[in-house]
Amino acid sequence: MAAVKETIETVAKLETYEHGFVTDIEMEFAPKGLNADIVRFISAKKNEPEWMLEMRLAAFERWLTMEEPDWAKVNYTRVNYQDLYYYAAPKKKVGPKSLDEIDPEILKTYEKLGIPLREQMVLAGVEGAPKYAVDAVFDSVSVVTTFKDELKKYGVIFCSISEALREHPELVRQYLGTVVPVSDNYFAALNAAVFSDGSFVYVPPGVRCPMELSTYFRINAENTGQFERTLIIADKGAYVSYLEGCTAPQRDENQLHAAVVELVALDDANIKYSTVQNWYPGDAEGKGGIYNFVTKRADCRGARSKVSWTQVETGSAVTWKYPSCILRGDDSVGEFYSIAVTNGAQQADTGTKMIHLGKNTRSRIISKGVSAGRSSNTYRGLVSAHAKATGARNFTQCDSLLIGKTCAAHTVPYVESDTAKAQFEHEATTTRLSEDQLFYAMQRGLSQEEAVALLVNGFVREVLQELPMEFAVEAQKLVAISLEGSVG
Amino acid sequence: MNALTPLDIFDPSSYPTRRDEEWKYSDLSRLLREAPERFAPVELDWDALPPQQADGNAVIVNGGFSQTPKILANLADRAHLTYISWGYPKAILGHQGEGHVRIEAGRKVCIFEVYDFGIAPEVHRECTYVGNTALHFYLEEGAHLIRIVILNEPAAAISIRRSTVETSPNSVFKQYVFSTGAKFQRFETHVRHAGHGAEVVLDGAYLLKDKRHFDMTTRVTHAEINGTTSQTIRGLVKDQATAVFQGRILVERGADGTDARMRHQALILNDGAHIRAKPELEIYADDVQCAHGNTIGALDEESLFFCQARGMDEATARGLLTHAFVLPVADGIEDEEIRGKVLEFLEGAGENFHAV
Repeated sequence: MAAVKETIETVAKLETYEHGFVTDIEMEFAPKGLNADIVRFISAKKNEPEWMLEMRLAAFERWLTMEEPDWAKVNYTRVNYQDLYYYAAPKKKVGPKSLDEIDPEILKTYEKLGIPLREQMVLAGVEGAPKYAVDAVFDSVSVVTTFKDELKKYGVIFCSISEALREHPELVRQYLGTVVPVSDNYFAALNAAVFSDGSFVYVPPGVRCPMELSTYFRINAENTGQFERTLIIADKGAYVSYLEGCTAPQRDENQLHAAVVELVALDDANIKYSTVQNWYPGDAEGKGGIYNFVTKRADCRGARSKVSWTQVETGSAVTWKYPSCILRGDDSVGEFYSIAVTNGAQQADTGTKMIHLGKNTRSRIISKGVSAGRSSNTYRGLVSAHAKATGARNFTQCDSLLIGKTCAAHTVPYVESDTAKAQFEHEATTTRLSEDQLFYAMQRGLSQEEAVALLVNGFVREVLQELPMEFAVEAQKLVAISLEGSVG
Repeated sequence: MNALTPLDIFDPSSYPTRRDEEWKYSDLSRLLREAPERFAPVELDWDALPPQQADGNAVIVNGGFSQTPKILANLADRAHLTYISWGYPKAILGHQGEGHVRIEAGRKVCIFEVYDFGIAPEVHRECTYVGNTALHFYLEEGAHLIRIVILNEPAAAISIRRSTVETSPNSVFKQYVFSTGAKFQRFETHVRHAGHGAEVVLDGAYLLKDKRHFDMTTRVTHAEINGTTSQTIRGLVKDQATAVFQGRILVERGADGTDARMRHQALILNDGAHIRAKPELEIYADDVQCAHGNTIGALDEESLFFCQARGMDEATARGLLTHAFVLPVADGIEDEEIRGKVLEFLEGAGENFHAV
């Protein structure tokens, strides 16, 4: 099997975090700290409409009254919010018209990360190779979005959210903050106040987006927090598949990433959202790494709409993330496929919420957690059915795999049902890597690490199948790399 | 450790609220706004006159709860304890008590506890009381404790029945709980596998109607190797009743060879009834087998049709199917006489459950 071979090869490379380099470029920072003036500064920097500034300031006021949540099973040194830069952008000429005007160091960075920013690079590939439109976010700003013109022919809007605020303010205003209200939670309020960039996607009625859309997030500067905001709207009968990737340099201090993602699916629309999260996880002792405190939510507003979340979580020192679906439209469908791998001193508290409000709504949750080293991996999920959600159906499966004696795996599901005509099933298992299978694989000539990688990839296969093909291969490698050094 | 959250019903500041994660779905402070009056102590000299009979029966009234260990010590290995709580219409009276019971090494004890009310049936509806009791069991090496509990309390009662269990090597603890709920009823059990190779069973069934609320909370900690825990909770809710199941299995570092299984299955018979389930696993050891399952659904329409096709009217068919759903829980009770009494209770509860 080619994929297996590739996994083995990757493991053999013995690299722990290959994206840990730093790009040395000239940056522009807002002063450290957070107050109303910084919020105004960010808004002014982006030439935002007045209503956006008002929304930010209201969110900031609200944030001041809120407390940082502590219910998740994670321990970390609290962030000093006054010791962060809330805006860091590469210095550049005003509005680069072509890639040549972008700082070559940034281009090199993306090249090194394997992200195609030049359209011709993609086009020059094998004939018939799938196209990817990429929005590249570097610290606080989007540096480039590819294939914009080609997408425009189909009526698809794909740009950074700052650009959308300037070019399509009415669309943004209609939907922004309607899925994740500014007061939703501590980190969402913070994000609403200081978000600097992110992606915006609008797919018009009946259009099947002709290519995969993707955003690549890169944190580079020191002492910065990244607060991106993504808004995706699939109008009636539209389809879009969106991918998200993230990396950060290897640093000794913790960095904060507090994003908000809002998805809106109208009647018969279908959104597929895939994430491969590979932020720097910190070293084996737990020094450094990204705090990934993210709010992701989809609103299946229309009848027969569908949202599918797929996530591969291998990075971050601390993960606090619950991509959710509000199944408001009748017959709407929510899916959540997740692989969370923790090693070293990583801590992950992740899961989903499926809120069934409409009739005959269906949801499916498949979560695979793998813990190794001294890490802690928690699945936390909520499935609820409103009294009017007759015919609601949920199937949940959470499996945890433990590798080694010092890791931990937890499952915390909440199931709430108020209707007689719903059917909820939940299953969870926790086991260790089977000695027999390991022995079998090693007896056939695989080394211990190769055998572990093979078995773990088998364990998470159900979720990998849900990823777009190129991502699946990448994710498979990532899972193997993340577990390096976890046995023996 | 097996520490229960401190709770003094005579001190409203100790009442848990929704914000306490452990009491998220059972908000005592909302139902009990002020402390109840204390029951006048029951004037009985328990030492001189243990109210027991030769066949192992004892009736304990209100404040006498803390005498449970003394009574148990005097009883045979098979004890039938009836706890009567007196309730009065309108006046809210409360009692609370705590008792420690040690089961000696190698001894096998079977306790059949019935929580009942001491008022004529016609005035049940308005009668209320607040009962808060805790029993602490210590099982010595090889000890067996079989505990069967029937919670048959009035609709207006507020009842918190909590217990802790600590096992020793190779001891066995089996618990079967049957409930029809109350205005607020919480049955909480904390088990600590403090000895290797202990076997624990925590089964239960509930039938809730009207506005009754039943909360089954269990916390099992595996602190030693090769312990087994098996849990099956089955229940039915209708009208505006609420069933809460919170189960947690915690496997501590080094508790290898643990085999723990938890299952909660519930049927909601009409819209507007509520089920809140939170089956948790918290695992810090790798050589373990742990699983939990949770299903919530409606009565199987096909089975209903099957019964009706064989000449049963719909009400009988529903009664049969719901009865059949909770019945398997009683099958685990080995003592035939007690099982008979439990089945009798379930039958009565089942009939009452379907009565309009």
